[in-house]
Amino acid sequence: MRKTGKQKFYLGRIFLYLFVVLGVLYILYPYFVMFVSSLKGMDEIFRIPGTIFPEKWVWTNYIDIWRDIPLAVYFKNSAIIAVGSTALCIACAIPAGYALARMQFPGKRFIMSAIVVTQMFSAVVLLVGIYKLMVTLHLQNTRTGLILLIAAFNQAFAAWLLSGTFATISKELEEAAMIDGCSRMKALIRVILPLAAPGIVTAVVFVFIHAWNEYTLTLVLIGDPMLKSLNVGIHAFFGYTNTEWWYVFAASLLATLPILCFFQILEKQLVGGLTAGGVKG
Amino acid sequence: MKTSTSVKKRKKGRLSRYEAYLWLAPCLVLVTIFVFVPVIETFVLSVSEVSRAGLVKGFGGLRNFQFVLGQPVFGRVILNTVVWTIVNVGVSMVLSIITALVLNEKFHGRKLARTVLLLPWATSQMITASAWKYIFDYQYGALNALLLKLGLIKTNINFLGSANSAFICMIVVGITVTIPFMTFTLLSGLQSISTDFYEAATIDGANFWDKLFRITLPLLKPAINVTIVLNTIYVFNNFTIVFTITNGAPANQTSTMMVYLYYLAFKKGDYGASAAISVIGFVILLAFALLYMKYQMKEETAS
Repeated sequence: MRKTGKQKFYLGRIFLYLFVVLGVLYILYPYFVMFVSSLKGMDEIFRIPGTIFPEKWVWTNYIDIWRDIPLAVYFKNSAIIAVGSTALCIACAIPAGYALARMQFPGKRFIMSAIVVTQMFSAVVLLVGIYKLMVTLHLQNTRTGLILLIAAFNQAFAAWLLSGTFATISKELEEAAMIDGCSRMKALIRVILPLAAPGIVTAVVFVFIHAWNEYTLTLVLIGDPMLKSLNVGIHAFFGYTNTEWWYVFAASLLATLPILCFFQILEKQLVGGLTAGGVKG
Repeated sequence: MKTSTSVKKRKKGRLSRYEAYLWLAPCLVLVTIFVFVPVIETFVLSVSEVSRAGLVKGFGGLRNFQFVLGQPVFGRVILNTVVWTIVNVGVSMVLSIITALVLNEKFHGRKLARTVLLLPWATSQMITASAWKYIFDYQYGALNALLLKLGLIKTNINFLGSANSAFICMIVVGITVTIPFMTFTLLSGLQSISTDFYEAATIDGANFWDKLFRITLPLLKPAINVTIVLNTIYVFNNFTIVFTITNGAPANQTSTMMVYLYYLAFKKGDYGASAAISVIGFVILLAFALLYMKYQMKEETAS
């Protein structure tokens, strides 16, 4: 009886490790392909049958991309758009999340459901409406327009996550601070924000990644090649006949690096942060 | 004296009743201008006659909807969208539950496995989709090269050759990018289940499957419901994967509604028809969300 239990345990472990190893290999496969292909020359990419590892490692691909397209400009644009929209989004979502977590007011349910409804509209569904609005406001073809849009479309998520975080912090702390003469604003900044730091970091990382990876709005709204972000700019390597895959992948991997810097934070925060956000319903 | 303080208190109470709006103002202004105004614009455009330059020339009634419904490809686009969404969310859900259960176990390398799982979620979908586009390529693709080297095939497979096979490939890519976020949502749901239940069940002699179907899944249900609703919206609205891999080719046979509405607006210059697709998509999503929530809530209150 006992022996079968143990055997079952080992069998379960074998399946578990098999599942994990296969899953990890599957996830890493496209990154492996991007890496080895980014180091092949043109003749090797278009050779039949293809190779797996490069026969000649063409590291100069990583230098050429900076000359072939204005990659540095794309990096700068992506950074401006991502940092700007994240800052704006969080700056608006903190007071909103705080009010939703702490205050009772007429129309609260309506406002909460209105914010949830915005989750249903992706920017893509509203593409023509957005395009028209941006033309009206003279914000098409500007980074400012993208910053405002990305901040707005991430409001629901950020406010919801932050209100969940604020709700877990004891009210008594800020009430004590307010009795001591702090205004509500001061109490929020001095007492609540430091305690809510993990939730805020999670929100910042999420919004930043969404903004960094934004594609459709930039594709539609930005015509000026000097204002393009990385995602849209890299697309320039997709030719009509042949795609310069080695350059696409070298630039793509470089464009992914800034996101990898967040992984340490993400790994720590993602699970805990999501629970605090109240996924439970 | 007594009355004056109570008046003061009441006044202050009224002020703080509305104080919340001040706190909410930045968020509400941003969302109203940049989300709700485009919603209204889209609805208005869908019932307007719109010039190629995007100018509203007048009320168009339901002409845009009639035009869109009359397109021979429209049925295919709707079918694609429904298949794309249901298969993607369904398969991802099953795989995510398994992945979440596995990642909730303690094993060597769990931290690394969780970090790796973040990759497809954190990478730009344009980049992921172009990598897969190259992997699936008929002549030069990495998958064909790999399968040939391993001796599993004799000649190259044209993965993206027909509309149907290309669509299956894109669903595979869609599932790959859907699983990570689903898994992490479910994982946090799993972690909120008290271990007491499992201890009690073990004492009662329950086996692994009893625990899974009698404890874990029922308690995970709220998390599963939220995950299904949210991801159905995300997947339905996904544009980048199909746009990057086939861009609807051949002749919109692999288009989903999102790719088709982009095509109508920015390739054909027909903003009215594009807005009509948006409205149809929005109605489908809204109907789904309302029905699902109503049905699930009923079930939850019943049990």
